[in-house]
Amino acid sequence: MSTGVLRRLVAVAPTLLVVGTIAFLITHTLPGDPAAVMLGSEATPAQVASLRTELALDRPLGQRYLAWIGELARGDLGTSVHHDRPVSALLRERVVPTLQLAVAALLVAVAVGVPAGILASRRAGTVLDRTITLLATSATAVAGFFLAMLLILLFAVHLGWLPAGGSVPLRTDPVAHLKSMVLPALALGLPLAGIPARVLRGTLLDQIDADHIVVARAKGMPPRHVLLCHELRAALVPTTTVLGTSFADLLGGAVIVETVCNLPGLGQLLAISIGQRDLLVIQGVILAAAALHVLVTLTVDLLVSGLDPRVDHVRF
Amino acid sequence: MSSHCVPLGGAARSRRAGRLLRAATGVALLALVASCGQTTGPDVSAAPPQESTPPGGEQGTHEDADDRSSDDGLATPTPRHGGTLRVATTGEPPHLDPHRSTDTLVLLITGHVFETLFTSDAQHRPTPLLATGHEASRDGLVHTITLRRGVRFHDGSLMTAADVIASLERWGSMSGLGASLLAATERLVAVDQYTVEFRLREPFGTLPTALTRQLQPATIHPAHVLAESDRTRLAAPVGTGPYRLEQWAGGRPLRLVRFEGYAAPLGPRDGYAGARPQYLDAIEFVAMPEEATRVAALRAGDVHLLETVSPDQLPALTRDPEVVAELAGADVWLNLVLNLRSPVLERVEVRRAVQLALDHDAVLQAAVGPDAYTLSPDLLPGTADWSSDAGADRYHPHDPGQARRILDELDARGTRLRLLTTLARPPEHNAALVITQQLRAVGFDVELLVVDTATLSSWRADEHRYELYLASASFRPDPVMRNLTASAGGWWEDPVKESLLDRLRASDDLAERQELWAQVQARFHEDVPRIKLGDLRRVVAHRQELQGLGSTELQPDLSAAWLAP
Repeated sequence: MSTGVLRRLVAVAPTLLVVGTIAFLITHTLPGDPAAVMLGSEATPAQVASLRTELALDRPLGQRYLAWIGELARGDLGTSVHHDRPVSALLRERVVPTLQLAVAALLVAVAVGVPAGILASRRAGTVLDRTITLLATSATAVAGFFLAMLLILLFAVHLGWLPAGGSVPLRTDPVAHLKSMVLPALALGLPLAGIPARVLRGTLLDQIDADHIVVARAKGMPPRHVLLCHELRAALVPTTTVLGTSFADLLGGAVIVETVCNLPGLGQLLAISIGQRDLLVIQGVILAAAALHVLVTLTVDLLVSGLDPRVDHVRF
Repeated sequence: MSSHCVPLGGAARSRRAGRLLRAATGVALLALVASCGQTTGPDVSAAPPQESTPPGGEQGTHEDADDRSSDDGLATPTPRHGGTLRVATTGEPPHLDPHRSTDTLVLLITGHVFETLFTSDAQHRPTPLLATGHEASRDGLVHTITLRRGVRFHDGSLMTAADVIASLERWGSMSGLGASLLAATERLVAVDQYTVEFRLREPFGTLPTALTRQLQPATIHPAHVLAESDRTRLAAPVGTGPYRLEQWAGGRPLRLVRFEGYAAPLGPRDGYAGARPQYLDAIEFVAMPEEATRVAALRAGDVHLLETVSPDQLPALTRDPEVVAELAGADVWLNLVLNLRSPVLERVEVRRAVQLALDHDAVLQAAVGPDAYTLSPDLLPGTADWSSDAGADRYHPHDPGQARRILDELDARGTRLRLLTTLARPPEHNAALVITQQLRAVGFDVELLVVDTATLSSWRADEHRYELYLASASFRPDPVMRNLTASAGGWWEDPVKESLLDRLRASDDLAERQELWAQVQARFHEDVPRIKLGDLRRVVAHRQELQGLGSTELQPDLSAAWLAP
């Protein structure tokens, strides 16, 4: 397996190069540039043109690409035009809130989705099952920003229990930090909860007539033990795979939820940088998200192979 | 298969499931009610009219607040020192270099960090701030400005004439108005440490006005900081203002803290002039790009003041007893900029057809609602000195039949017009939708191009990209600050107008300048380089506990604001 893992890790570099090149081409073919944003909406065309020249934005595309790739090879992601700081420093600051949000949202999804899936499978065909299935399907269809706004209105504006947005550093005030994470985690995690609920319900129902389950029951094993020791174990593989893939997708969902909930993560940085046409930051965030995606996928594959030894390691 | 799994005792469980379903439905309904509270409610007209009361006017006088009682015996609130004021902004500022930006957010923040030689009083006339006075020679070719002594920058260094000259030279290389002033200047001389002399080639009567608070202002920075800066970058945000930058990194709120070494100006508050008592310990600017989030944060008490909010939110805000939300005076105007370098619009007859096609009432109602606009030909709304009816006969003529006839005479029916707008500014976008329909109705073939702000900013500098775009002209206290030169968007080139503007800059006689400005305004409505649609009333929204907000037309100056317990 170690050779397979090594091979996968080696493949990360070309993957990132391809992603980076696509990101470069997209950002540099977008209309609009940082000069116009920096000067404000009432700047004259001549002022914009002058600043474009000073920021070297009028250099040919190929020349800019080669310069960027050269710096990238040296581990330098460049300097943000707007923040006047290295892009890598910005990424380091912003990645922590995003990972915290993704983990918290995953916990919400597991905490809500797994019991709901089990409950639905145990009560299959009842009103409760249909309700859970309906809610699970609806949850996956709800847009994160819409849910975030509803949660803010309910818990921040009307009930006043939680802050409407923003974030307090963990070291400054751990309680306030946790409170600030609740609404974004719910907004991102609740729609996700529908996925494990549905997968788990389906997988558990498939297990009911399986030979080993029938034997376990026939031997007089209590239903709870059958569920925990046999049915859930078999359901873990597809559920983990789905959750792992979803975790990577959470990074994309974070762009919206972080913007609505004003959480200073990679998603918010990306949204603001697109608005400001801070090209190097956009490219840096996309590269960071791609790297995280690759690492998470690899981790999930390793987890799955650990959970189910039948998984063919050769595919690594 | 599932039938095997249906458990016994289903009736009791069904009841439990029913309760669960009812609870879930209740939560969903509550959430929906909450959302309805956000978006529905009485018409904007239900909001109490506040036009005559400036925001913060409840504090009454702009006076440096001390313990005092009003004539009717009611005690006025006593200002309280301390606290952190949180302002929700529409985004992060692109930078903190006031010389480099016409962005109102940059002015809002940097207005507390940097200061100008002059500022504006309540009548929008220049009043000394870092200067102590100004004298002009009889021929108007030598202007002498004396500086306040003992003014320190945030890094502890003393402000001197060398800093002022370095700052003005940098500002002059970046701002249009600054470039005009430096072009008229033969030499900038430091007579002594606290005296600066402008030796001019030609009179520039509006010199103190040009150096007041405005978008892209002539702020004063230490010469040693400017030596390390260039036109694309300010090395350090070091100013003389009442607050200094403490933090702006990592997505955290941009935080300004009280500058303990501040050399405060004296005198009662008068517009942006007078004392700046620094009641607040700190001011935080929190970037919240989503308007609904900003409104929710204000209502939840997470922030005290909104940088901006659309009139659509007024009903929900006025219903909240913890929030003060009011319409400010109409001092911003919405306009349709015409590309005069376009082969289509270079003909004044076609421009006139566009002018005749538009029903400004319909456009502005769609843009901001029925109570948040006024119609007037004024190009400097919100100022007493510059109000004029000049060009009123050409303003808002609205005659679609005549527009059609003009197009028929020119055989220009079906002429294609590309109209640029952005969803990021809903009033402009909504106005563009109505304008599109009105222009199509008279025979233009309009293509509406909805792009993001950065694209709009970039495309409007390209004469081949568009025929029309929507723009908001922010408040300007003096004609010299309203860029109507050929360098502005749309490229209005008119020698007569340029000559009028030159004379307007040179003169220091108010009556003469008013007459010149009226002529510029008349020419504007006649030549149709842009179509002024109407004046918009901004919504100013803040928490009840925020007091002493003062003037807001050039962004709030929070150095006299305070937080009630």
